[in-house]
Amino acid sequence: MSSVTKRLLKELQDIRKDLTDELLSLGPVDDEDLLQWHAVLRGPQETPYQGGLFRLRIDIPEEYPIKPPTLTFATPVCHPNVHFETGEICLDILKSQWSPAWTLTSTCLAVHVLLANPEPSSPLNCDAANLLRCGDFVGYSSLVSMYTHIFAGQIQ
Amino acid sequence: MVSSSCGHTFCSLCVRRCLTLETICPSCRAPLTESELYPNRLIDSILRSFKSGRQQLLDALTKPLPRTTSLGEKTHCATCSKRGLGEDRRSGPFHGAAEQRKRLRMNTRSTTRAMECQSSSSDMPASCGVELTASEIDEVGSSDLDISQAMVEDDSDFMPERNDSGIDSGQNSRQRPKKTLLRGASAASNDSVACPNCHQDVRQSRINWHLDRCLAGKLSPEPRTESGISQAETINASSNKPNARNISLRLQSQPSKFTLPRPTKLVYSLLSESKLRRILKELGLPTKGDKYQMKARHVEWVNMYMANADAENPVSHKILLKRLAEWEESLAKPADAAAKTQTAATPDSWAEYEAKHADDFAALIAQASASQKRASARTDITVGVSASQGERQTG
Repeated sequence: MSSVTKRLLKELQDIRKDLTDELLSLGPVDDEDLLQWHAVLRGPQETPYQGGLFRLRIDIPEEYPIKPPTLTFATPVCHPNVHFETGEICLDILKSQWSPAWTLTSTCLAVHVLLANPEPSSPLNCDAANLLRCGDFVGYSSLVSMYTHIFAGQIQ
Repeated sequence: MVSSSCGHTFCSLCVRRCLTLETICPSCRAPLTESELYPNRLIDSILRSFKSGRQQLLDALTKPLPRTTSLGEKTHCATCSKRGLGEDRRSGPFHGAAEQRKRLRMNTRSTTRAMECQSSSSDMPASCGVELTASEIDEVGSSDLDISQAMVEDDSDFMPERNDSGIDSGQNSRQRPKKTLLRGASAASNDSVACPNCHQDVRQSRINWHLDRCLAGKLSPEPRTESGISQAETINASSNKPNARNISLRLQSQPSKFTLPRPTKLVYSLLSESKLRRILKELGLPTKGDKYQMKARHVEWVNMYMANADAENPVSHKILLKRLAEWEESLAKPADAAAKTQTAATPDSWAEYEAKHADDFAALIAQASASQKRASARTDITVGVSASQGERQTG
């Protein structure tokens, strides 16, 4: 058994007790491929994402955990650090700041925290970032709430 | 396991693999180099005891016994009795009607073991478990029977007897754990006891032998004929488990005839492929593959070698080489799998597929050849027709 399989099985075992109110589900897409996972995040409370359920696609490289997994939003998200079309996430721990001590659970929770704490200085969605940079919080939150309602409010 | 200078603990091999990529602590990102890793023996031993006890603990927790004896509850802490009970279930030769009695014996034994563990963990030169001779164990076994007999007759009788037995023979001059062990034994040093099975008076030293035969008549499948010896073995085997294993592993690892030279880290970009190959050869490693593969192999070997040196019980280099090969195989596999999905099938599965659908293929071929015949016949006709038409036109 390769080290990536071993590690992922261990994580899968631990997930049952790690699932929280924010991270609703996390697991492999199907039993055949352990390197394709998906997760469902609940929009953080008291943010414009509240009430939305966001699906994440997780691609795990063979070199995991030495190399970071690739997380993308399968649900369109309006967020300064998330590409609206591709769902790509700009988060340092998914790129340069990755450490093997992170798990898939903790990574998903980091994405959850990112939803609540946007970083407009390194945007993937310039429109949302510009609103924030201008200090138009009302505009930003209403835009985000609208998209959350349209795209993320439908999933059960 | 190794601890870093920033206070985090990792598996030696894993953290070395990480540090080859980036010299920071995976937990806190503090700068960390391999020279700042220290073996953590305490974690090692905690892990070892957890591993050895896990199955028993799980058994004891998931399958609660129908009836726990008051003895077990009163005289042992939860962990000990669990361990003892787990052991009870595990030890194959003891089953059947005498279970109650056995459970008691196991409890006594588990006390012994717990004590031994204490003594061994405090690094006493010779833990008492090692000193147990067969006769002493026999004594213990018979004392257990005595206890069990008391229990069978009247539970409440037992406690005072046990307390009385604190008056030890000369044997209590040994280590303290031993005293606890022998407390039960000395209680049994009186002469004759009644067999719990047939109520016949038997001499204490003969009770095991008697009981074996007595029970053998009734419970024929129970293989308890040489229980004195088997108990001795079981006790020795089970109670000294960590010690025995340690010793054997140490014996195995120390005079390892097959040692490979200690590898050093290299700056791979400064080395040519042939030079790297020569270095690998000197280290006794496989030299196949291109420079990239050799580099990966060398990196992994350095990590494995160092991690092995950190380990409490280092394995021989032969095993280490085998692990390196396994690691390389596990790397190669995913690539193979990817190739498989690309080409959709390997020759093997082609053959399988062919065999499976042989009829289909035959039918298809027949169909194809039939349609080909038809087509050729048609072309013949058309050719013939057109030829005749041409003749007519010319004519």
